[in-house]
Amino acid sequence: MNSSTNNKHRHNGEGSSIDRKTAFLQQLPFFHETALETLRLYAYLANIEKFPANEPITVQGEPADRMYLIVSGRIGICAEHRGRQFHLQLLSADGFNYFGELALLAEFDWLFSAFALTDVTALTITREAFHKVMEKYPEQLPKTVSRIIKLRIERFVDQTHYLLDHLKEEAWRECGSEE
Amino acid sequence: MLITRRPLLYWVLTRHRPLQLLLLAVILVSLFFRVFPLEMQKRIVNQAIHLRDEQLLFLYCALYIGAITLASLLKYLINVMQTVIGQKILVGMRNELYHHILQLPLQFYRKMQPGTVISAMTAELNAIGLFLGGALAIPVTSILTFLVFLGFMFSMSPLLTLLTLTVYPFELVIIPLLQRRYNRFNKKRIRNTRSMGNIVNEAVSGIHEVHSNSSFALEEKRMAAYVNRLYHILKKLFIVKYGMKFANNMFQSFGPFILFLVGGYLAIHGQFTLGALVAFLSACEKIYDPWKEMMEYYQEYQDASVRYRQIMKIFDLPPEHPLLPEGREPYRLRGDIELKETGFSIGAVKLLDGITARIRPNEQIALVGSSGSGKSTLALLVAQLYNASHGSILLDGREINTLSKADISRNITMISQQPFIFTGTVRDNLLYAVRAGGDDKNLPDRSSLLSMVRDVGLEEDILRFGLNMAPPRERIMLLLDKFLHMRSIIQGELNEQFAGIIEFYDCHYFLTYCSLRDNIIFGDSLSGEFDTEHLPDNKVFRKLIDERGLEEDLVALGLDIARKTVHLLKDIGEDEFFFERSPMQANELENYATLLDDLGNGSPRQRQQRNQLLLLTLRFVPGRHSITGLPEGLDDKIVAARHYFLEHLMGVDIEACFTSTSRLRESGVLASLPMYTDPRDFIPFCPAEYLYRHSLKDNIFFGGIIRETPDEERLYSVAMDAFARQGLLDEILDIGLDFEVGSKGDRLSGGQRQKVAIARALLKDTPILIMDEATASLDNQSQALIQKLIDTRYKGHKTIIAVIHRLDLTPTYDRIIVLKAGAVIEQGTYAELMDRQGVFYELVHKQ
Ligand SMILES: Nc1ncnc2c1ncn2[C@@H]1O[C@H](COP(=O)(O)OP(=O)(O)O)[C@@H](O)[C@H]1O
Ligand SMILES: [Mg+2]
Repeated sequence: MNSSTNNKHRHNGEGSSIDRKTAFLQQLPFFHETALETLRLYAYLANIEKFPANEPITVQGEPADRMYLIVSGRIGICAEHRGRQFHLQLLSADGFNYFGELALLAEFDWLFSAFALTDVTALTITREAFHKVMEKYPEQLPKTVSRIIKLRIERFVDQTHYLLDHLKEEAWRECGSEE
Repeated sequence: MLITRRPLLYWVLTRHRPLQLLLLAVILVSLFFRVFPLEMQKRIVNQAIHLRDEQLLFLYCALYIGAITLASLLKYLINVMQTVIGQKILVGMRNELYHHILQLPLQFYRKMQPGTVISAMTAELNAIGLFLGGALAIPVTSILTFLVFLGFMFSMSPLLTLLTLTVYPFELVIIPLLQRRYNRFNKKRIRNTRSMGNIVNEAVSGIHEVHSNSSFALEEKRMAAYVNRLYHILKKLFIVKYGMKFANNMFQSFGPFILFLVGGYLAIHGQFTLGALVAFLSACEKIYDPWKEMMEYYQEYQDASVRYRQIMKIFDLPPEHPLLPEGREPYRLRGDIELKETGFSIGAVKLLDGITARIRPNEQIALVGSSGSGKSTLALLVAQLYNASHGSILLDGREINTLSKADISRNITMISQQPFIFTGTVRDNLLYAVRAGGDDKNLPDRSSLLSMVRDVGLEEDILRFGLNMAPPRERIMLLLDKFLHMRSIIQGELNEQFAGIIEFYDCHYFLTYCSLRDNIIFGDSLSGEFDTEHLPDNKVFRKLIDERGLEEDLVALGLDIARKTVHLLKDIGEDEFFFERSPMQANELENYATLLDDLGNGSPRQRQQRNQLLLLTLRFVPGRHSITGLPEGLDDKIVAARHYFLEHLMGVDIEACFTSTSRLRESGVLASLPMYTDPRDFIPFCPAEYLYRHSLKDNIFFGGIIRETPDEERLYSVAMDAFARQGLLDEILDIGLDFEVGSKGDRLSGGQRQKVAIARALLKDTPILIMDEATASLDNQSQALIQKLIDTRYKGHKTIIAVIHRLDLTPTYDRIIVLKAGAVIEQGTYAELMDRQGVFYELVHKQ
């Protein structure tokens, strides 16, 4: 073992600054209607998490406590059903993608697993942080909730289409590989 | 005689008699020296001055001053002796009373409020102690002194003496009248003070409930009522008290008035010498002292005896059982329990009625029934904590009432529904029951203590306590090798797994998950001189950042942190959550906001301001505090400054530190620094160093924590497994046993408290064990663990009566007794009761 293993957590300087994170959040459709002040607070509370390629990000059945916003890399979303893995969706950073938004609203276990297909960097916002922010700006809560649900419906439509498109062959493919 | 029936003077007359006699002797001697100066006064005027004899004047004056000095010295001695005697008597009284109080039956405590007992045992007894010392000596002396002075005066002028005496009878009437009123208020005061104590005691004990209901106003109101009443009582009490003082003073001034009037008249007419008049005046003043003392004594006696009776009245109840058996050793019972028509009532209410059952030695009995059916009451009866009101209970064929406390405690252990945990360490609590047996030699050794900890499922909890403790240095020294070995396991063998969770200290690199303080100082000082809060004013540190040109960078970073935090969080309020990602604490925000206002757009010039900003920088952990980033290049500058600091200012052999770090990573071997074999104040974060002021955990993991997630939990158990394989866990456990549990075990969880109580009881290892829902507050897994212990290890070795709520645990018991409304309605084996399809069957199916 050499000492460079110890060195992989070296900070990434200005890359993690609140301004940069805020700018990133602003681009996401999820936050289009959120006030700048609130957005800065989210940026401040958000974690940067890195996952190497082929590692699980979330595991179906484990408690969901945060939302993932993809900064870079590609992620596959799969669900296990009757012992088989079904590929549901492919998310990549260029579409300003995210998943796990329902975790902000309620306590539940992940209904799907997410795999890093390439090296992935994600910003995560925990339910606790979300609730704390909403406690400070309660007037924004109804709007935010309805936004989360609308986006959720869009994703639901997306995933259904994907499943329908791939109904025969590809939807049964094993997870962990790209299309 | 029962302690509570003794009169107050019993204590005075029977305790420390030789000392009291000595005191009396000293007082008598001092008496002489108090009268003697009067004679001198007379002679100075009548002989020395009258005869114009200087020699005589000097002689008498010398004798006069000598006598006065001696009298004062003796007075001092008397005071000291009185206090000593009083306190000695008080020690005995307090110990005996406490001995009595502890033995009072549980029934007594059901009615008694703790505040009353506390107030009686402490403040109220103190007041009596002051009186006790002089209780015998003062009255004797005062009366004697009074008589001596009286005799002296009488010898000079019987007429004048009689005249001065006329005022005293008045006082003898008025003072007792006032005193009776005083006593009445005093009793009220005592009762009211006790009630106040109870209110405070209850509020403090129930502080959880008070806070969670926000019942502050309610509690304050309850208290205010008593505070007000006390004010009114004390007001009246003091009015009476000063009334007595006033009467005393008045009468005192009447004496000289009569003397001047009559004595002056006689002197003018030559019937009385001037010297005699002077001496007589002095005597008249002096005679008032013993009189006053007698009056005061009378008041103190009244006061003390009121208090004394108030104390003794509440505890006036005989203990139910003798402590020790008479004329024999305590029995060793086989554990045979027989209940014959046993009943227990409180007043007219029958809580238990006609219980008949036989429990053979080593039989295991489950006692079941709905709550309120009398299970706990029955358990208390068998443990001799309650006394049966009808029928009888036989232990090994002997009537339980004839057994002493020692017989019971040596043979029966009871784990109650809500066990009590004492202030002290976990170890103290575990050994409590064994130590109570009185022989300190047969205490369980470390290995049996630790295996009991494992048996009841406390291992993980105790490990955690141990890891979070910073044991005293002497203790670490003995085990240093083992702890360093643990560190080398983590950093060597388990390096890959831990590298994601812990950023190991490495002298070469900037550490993202450590504060800038740790990054610069890279060590710890035993004296605390390099602690973060002291650092801005530390000379060595100042010199360092000055020489390395770091000061401006660090202050600028602090300013950046302050600006960003204040800007982002100024409207948030004091919510700790938002401040986790900034080195500023919620309660400091206002201070820093003011500082920024003062600065405006300027840069910080004042030392005070710069220090405050430096503090933020020093606490800054770049990996955790997302409020800002570390400026480009500062990390390298800091590492360079660190090397300079260690090598040139602290004299650390930095090359050795480098090599030992690499060797640890490569081969898992710890090499200590060559220069460092002597004790020293500064300890660098080098691989073979132990940080005495940090917890065991900090020392084993030896780095910054990257994240605290479930991941960590998993790895944590990996580490513990590795330590267990190397036989290292016992050391951590042993240290964890010294965890302070807080008052009533407040720092333990409900389950931990229960487990400690179970371990405490099992360590005592008596033939009979009574468990009253002892596992009710444990999770299923721990419950099963204890259950298994009972039906494997103790099967055939202990008589066990277990009150159980969960009926699925009953099949392993030899027999089941079902209680309903204070009577046994079924008993038999599990199979028998299920076959019968009676009440038990119903209960099982309902659960
Ligand atoms: N000291 C006491 N004074 C008055 N009633 C009591 C006392 N102790 C217990 N009781 C009453 O006796 C009944 C049985 O209590 P207990 O033996 O604690 O029941 P269990 O343990 O079966 O739940 C309850 O109704 C309770 O209110
Ligand atoms: Mg009970």
